Amino acid sequence: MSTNREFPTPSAIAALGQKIYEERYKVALEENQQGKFVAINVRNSEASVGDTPEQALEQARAKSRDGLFHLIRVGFPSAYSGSSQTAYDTQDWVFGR
Amino acid sequence: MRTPEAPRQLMTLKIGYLDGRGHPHVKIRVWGLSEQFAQEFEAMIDTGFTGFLSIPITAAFPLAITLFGTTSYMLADGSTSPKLLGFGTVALEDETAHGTIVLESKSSGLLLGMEFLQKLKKALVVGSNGVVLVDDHVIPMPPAPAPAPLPPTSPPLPPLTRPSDEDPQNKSK
Repeated sequence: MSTNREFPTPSAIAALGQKIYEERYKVALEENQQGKFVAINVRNSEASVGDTPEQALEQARAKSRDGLFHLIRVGFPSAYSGSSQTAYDTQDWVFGR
Repeated sequence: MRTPEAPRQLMTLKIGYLDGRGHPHVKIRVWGLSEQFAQEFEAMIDTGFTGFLSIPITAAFPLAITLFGTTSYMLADGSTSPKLLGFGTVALEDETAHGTIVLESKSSGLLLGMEFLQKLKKALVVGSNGVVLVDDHVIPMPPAPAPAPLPPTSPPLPPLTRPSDEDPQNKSK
């Protein structure tokens, strides 16, 4: 395991994970894995699918201990949704939006 | 002649409260790697949140939550926002559940979502004076309907503008 690696920002991980998903996996997974969770390792573009977020992430972590993962729900616009926030609630401390 | 009473089903009650705005809250303990890092919080139960637990990132600092990466979170206005994602444990009195934890990078309180209720197999009962979480097997439920069709993929909503953004007096400042 290399110790001299690049460490992208959280925003870059999220954007890259989404891009990898859309380019490589979206069409195939949306055919027969609707509603499942997929963890994209942005270091090697590998995808791990599970029925739950924990399954997908644990599988992904078992494959790559030093992976950086972005979690997506197949067929949904986001892995999670909430009803109590809007984009203008407050300043985002990490993502800066 | 008295007929024998049917055996009463065991029912675990977890008691919470309504805050000033009528939102249900319960006391929980949360930790990451080990229970020695556990801290107690009052969390709002938000049935509109699909996840397990959302916690402000600064509240998560002392809990040793294992970070995995990022996820996307759809907000109430339809916009999506990236969030950091971790793994940890929530205890509600003597019951515990493990799950993925959304680390909220905005100022907020703790939210328990539907995944939490499903993992602990609890039903939320809200009354005028308070809140109880009961084992969901004691609530008679009709058979689950077929899953609803998935939402169509729609283009992102245009950015919202606040009234103050359109105020010409503000533009001149």
